[in-house]
Amino acid sequence: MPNLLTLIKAEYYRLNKYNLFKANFVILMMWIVLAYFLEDEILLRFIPFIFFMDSIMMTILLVGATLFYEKKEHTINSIMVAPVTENEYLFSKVLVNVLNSLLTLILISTAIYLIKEVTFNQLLVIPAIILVTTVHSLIGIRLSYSAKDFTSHLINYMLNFPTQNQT
Amino acid sequence: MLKVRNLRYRYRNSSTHAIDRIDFDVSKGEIFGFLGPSGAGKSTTQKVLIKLLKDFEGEILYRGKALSAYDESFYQDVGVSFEMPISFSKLTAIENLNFFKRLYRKTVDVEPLLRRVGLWEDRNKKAGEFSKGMKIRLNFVKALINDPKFLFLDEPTNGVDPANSRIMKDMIHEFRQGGGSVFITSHIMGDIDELCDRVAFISEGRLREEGSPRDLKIKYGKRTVNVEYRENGALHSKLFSMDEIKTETFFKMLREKEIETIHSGETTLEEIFIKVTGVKLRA
Repeated sequence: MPNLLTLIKAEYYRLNKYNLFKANFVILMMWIVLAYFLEDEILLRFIPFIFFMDSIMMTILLVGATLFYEKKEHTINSIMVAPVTENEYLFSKVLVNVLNSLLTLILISTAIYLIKEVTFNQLLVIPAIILVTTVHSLIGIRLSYSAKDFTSHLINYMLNFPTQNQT
Repeated sequence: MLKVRNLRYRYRNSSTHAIDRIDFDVSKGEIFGFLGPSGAGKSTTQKVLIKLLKDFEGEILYRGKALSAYDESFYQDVGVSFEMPISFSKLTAIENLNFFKRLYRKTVDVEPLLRRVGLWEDRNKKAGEFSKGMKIRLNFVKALINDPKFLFLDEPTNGVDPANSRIMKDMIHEFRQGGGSVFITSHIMGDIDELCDRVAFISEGRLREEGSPRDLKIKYGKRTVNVEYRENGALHSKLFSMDEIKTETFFKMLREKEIETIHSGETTLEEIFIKVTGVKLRA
């Protein structure tokens, strides 16, 4: 996969240029503020929910937004006629989301440790975050593929999400 | 360079073939024009040739090897320019090109290309702020960044002003002179006539005619010369066959009459297209 690293770097660069990281940062701050107001005991019970919600929500939003732009601007066509394999393309999307989720995990963990001195078992959370983000990145890509626009992508996700949970 | 035999393609939800048993070749150093109205199968053919559509029937050989046997390395060798503007709108022109440059093993310096198409001064401007013509020129430069041997150009000058269209056509000619091959689809007959060594007309998924623009014009044109002259203030015209222009009658007319125009009965590619397909290129 010679172009994987290039695709990942470019994806990060574009997320920044398209202001999608800013949206991510706002949500991140929201979780930190929420954590600040929760009692330590409740926070410990609530923290996995924060990590998984953030991973799921941001993954679906970021995948949907980036693919929506790529479809709208037809850049996906150009990427498909460049020497990039479909696997490289998909891996880059998944890896960027996984890295993003892990970065969020680090930032929230650091923040709640500094604010509340609360710690938790990272060894259990990290693999779970990677798994959840990978699965939802692939779901997001699949839904974006057939979605007409970003709104329909989100609606598709909301309609399909209960089904995915059951299966 | 490119050999297409008995090519057929049918979309999943369609009962008919979008392209049906078409054959053509594109040689090294040749510009091949593919003409047809919307929905005729031009874009489908191009998508099959650039491996965006894969489940085709028939045989496509690129450099003697089956197209389906190529992996992504195929794209190291070819450049593709789509009809619609394609660029990351929030990235500058140079950022767009640099992104694609990093995907190829071999690339060229983009500065001379951007200067040539008049975009160098705007290289740090976001592509989203470009006009349609500028975006199309950026598409064209992007198609050339990997120093391709084969170019697939879809309506390359559509939406481009005449001056820049001229520059792009010169660049396509130079690419051909350098040994490159070009597969070009267009509605703009003037461009096709000017650029292409050979053209093929497609309608309803089938090739209706193929040949060099000159040969086709001779085949479908009238072997006549129409002379318009003024006599006693009134405009007259007289039609001569090609054989008659060697006669004294013709020369006498040229000497004695006040000639205003002389036209051969040569036809245009558009007229040929209408003749062979019965379809107008533009409504």
